[in-house]
Amino acid sequence: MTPAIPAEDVSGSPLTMTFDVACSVEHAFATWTQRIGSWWPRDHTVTRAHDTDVVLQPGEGGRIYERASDGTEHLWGHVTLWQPPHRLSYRWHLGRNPADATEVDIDRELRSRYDKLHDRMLGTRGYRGIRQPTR
Amino acid sequence: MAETVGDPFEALSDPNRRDILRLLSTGDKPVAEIAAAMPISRPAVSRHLRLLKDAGMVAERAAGTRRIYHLREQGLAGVHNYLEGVWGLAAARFRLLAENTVENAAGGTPAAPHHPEDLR
Repeated sequence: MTPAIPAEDVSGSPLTMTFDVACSVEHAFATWTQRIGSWWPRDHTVTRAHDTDVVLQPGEGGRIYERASDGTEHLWGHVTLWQPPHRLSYRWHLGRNPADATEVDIDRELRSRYDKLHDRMLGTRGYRGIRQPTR
Repeated sequence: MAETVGDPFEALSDPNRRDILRLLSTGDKPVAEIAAAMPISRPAVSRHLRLLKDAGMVAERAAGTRRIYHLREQGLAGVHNYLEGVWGLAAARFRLLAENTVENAAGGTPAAPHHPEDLR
């Protein structure tokens, strides 16, 4: 499956990561979206506090934000594609400059292995405007 | 490999510096040519170039009285590797959580408590 790369990232250098998750695709999608506050590394939040939460609101246009324990919110970005449980895209800047936002695209394909179904989530992310030298 | 003191993400955080990197991705260029293509003053361009150099993303060589700048592949690869590391950690944590939480019958809403500290 070819991940969709936003046109504005064509000149960029997207990272692609593929991995298997031993659970249903529904559960994987729910975990990715509803529990991002549990798995996203705290070192890569604005506050870096262990009790900071991350919220990804369901649906296109949903806000992605970080909420500190004192209630302060830092907007990270927005959901741009919401097709549970197969596709999810969002654009975020992790509380930095919105002009520096990157795309995250989650895709998954089912494949059969040893008669067991595994889900594969395929994420593509690019940082805008930087092209690897071709030399 | 040359010692770098700057932060590549700081270097990338400015749109003018990203424009300079884009410009240099089309070929090595002297300062004057970079400055001519930018809407900012030449001293400002020099300042950005110095910061990019400190971050290991560009390097210069002298050609007569001119200084020719080029992209340093290692600098950009460093950014790429860093991002890969961040996402590798995030992906590992995601997998651990997804594979160790109970799926409910209604369609995958995780039933375990929020913020499992054992994932850290």
